[in-house]
Amino acid sequence: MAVYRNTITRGSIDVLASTFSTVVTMVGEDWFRAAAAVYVGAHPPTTPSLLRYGADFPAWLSAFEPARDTPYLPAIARLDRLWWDAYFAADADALDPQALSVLSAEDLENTGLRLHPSVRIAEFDHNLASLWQAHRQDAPSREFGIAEGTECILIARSGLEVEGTIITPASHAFLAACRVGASVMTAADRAVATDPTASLPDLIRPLLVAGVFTHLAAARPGSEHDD
Amino acid sequence: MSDTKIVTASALLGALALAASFAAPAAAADDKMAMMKKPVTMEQMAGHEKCYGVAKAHENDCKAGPGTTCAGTSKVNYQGNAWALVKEGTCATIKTPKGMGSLTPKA
Amino acid sequence: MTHRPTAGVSLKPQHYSEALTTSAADLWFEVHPENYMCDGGPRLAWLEAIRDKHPLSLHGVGLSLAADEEPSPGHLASLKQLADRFEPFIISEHLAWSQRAGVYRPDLLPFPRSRHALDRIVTNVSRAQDVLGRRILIENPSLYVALNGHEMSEPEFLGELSRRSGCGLLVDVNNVHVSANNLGFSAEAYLDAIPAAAIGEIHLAGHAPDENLGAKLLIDTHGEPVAEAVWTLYRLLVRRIGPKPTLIERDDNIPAFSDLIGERDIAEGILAAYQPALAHG
Repeated sequence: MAVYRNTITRGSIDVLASTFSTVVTMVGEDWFRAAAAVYVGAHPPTTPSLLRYGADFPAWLSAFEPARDTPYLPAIARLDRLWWDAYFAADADALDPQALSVLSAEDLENTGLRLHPSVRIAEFDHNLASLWQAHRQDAPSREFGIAEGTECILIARSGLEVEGTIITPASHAFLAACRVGASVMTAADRAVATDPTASLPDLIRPLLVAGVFTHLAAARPGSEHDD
Repeated sequence: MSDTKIVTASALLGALALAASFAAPAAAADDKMAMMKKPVTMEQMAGHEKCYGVAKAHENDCKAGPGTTCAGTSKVNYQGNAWALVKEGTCATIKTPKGMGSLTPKA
Repeated sequence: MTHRPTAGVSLKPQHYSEALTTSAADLWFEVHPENYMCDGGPRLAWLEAIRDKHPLSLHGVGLSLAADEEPSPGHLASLKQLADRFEPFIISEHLAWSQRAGVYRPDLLPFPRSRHALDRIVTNVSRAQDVLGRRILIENPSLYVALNGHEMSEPEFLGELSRRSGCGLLVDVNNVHVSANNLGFSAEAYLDAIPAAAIGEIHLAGHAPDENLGAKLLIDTHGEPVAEAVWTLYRLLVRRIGPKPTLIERDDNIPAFSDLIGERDIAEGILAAYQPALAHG
């Protein structure tokens, strides 16, 4: 029965290794496959399509003793997963920027910007998003120093390409408000409250260019207080 | 945050109009964040196949059958595509500050 | 599909560009639907573009039709969705199981071919065909161990399954060769025993000897070119049943696209040599 056993384990590990490819890069294939085998034993696949297998692998990794000496690893795994989710997310057309120029003052209070299905935003301690980006290059070479502070990232797909972009805390606040269905006014308020020096045109323009928004829709009740 | 509005409607309308005007295709052409918003052409499809990450995304295929005789340690999925090769064990190049504990990802 | 049965190849993501631009005539492609069960993105875009130019076949690995439980309604619905979108000329699955009590094992697992199992699988195949609204083909598995409890030979079992459920059969010649080698039966006698009228597709693939046991245990790796012994069996089969759509199946150790097309051309040559006029002559 060894043939069958090997196939089952290997199939699941292969999927994890491709999903969490930056983690593999950082720890090496042998270490990764050994850790993945432990994970597969505890969390076997539950569906025949393995495209989404391993959703809780990042959380599992944060409790995995041999990973303790690389405390940034669960964040890297989570970023890999966000990239993966963006890659397979539904398709949608980007908002025509001109739709924004016809909004009235009243619209601002009750209309929100809806995000593309592939959009993922996250905030991390230290410069871990930059760390992740550096190690997704084909040949990460230079030494990387982990810095103090926090960092926000936007991961989204437009057309066929998934891209990760470090964004300001104000942009993150704006997008987080959009994500829960807040009005354009509330999203702008959150952004400026996060950083009073933020320039709204500079903040919104690259998001429009990146195709992060799909359409305008009625703001969701309750979203004005949601954080 | 409170309900107090710190951005005025007129300021926001102006900001949106400004953002929209500079986000028009001609102005956006050189933007670093510019990505395809239109349905892509076949040439673009072909060009983007070698992006890092996409290569890895190709390797998670379900398969009909065992694939290989050696179990979890197989390296067979790194053969055949030079551009899918990755450097191993780059953790060594990372300088972790002294006393850095567990890093819990934020929401 | 074209006017006559032709040969196709597995479509792997590494070959998307070439698959889109190839000038090979009457070429068709086959994919595992499980790899396209996502909401959107590049994979579906590629498949759509390629499907616009070539016929497509869906070859499932996850329906788990030989399990002691119904095929997953969610998985079946996803398969139906893909079938509606891509209009494959063939949908096939395996005579095996992989899912039980909420756990999925990415493999094609064996079972005892009992009368009881036949009843169960007839029900499962019928269920799948009802949901999909069409006939599916069922493939003979590669076998590695002799199980107890068989009440019928595999060709007998497949023939009964086809007769009772109305499904067609997909004969994987490499699987026949691998199983015959591993379990010690005659591959030629096996192929002769399969009802010709039920066969809707043929698979050809490569295998490899087990690392520890050598040629005593052949593994259906789908990672090598088609072996000479398998080509010989294929010629015998096509001579008997006439030309059928034939796939060069590759899942691992993916070679250059032109290598797959090279193998496909060999199959095309054999199919052409046994067109009905000749086969009946």
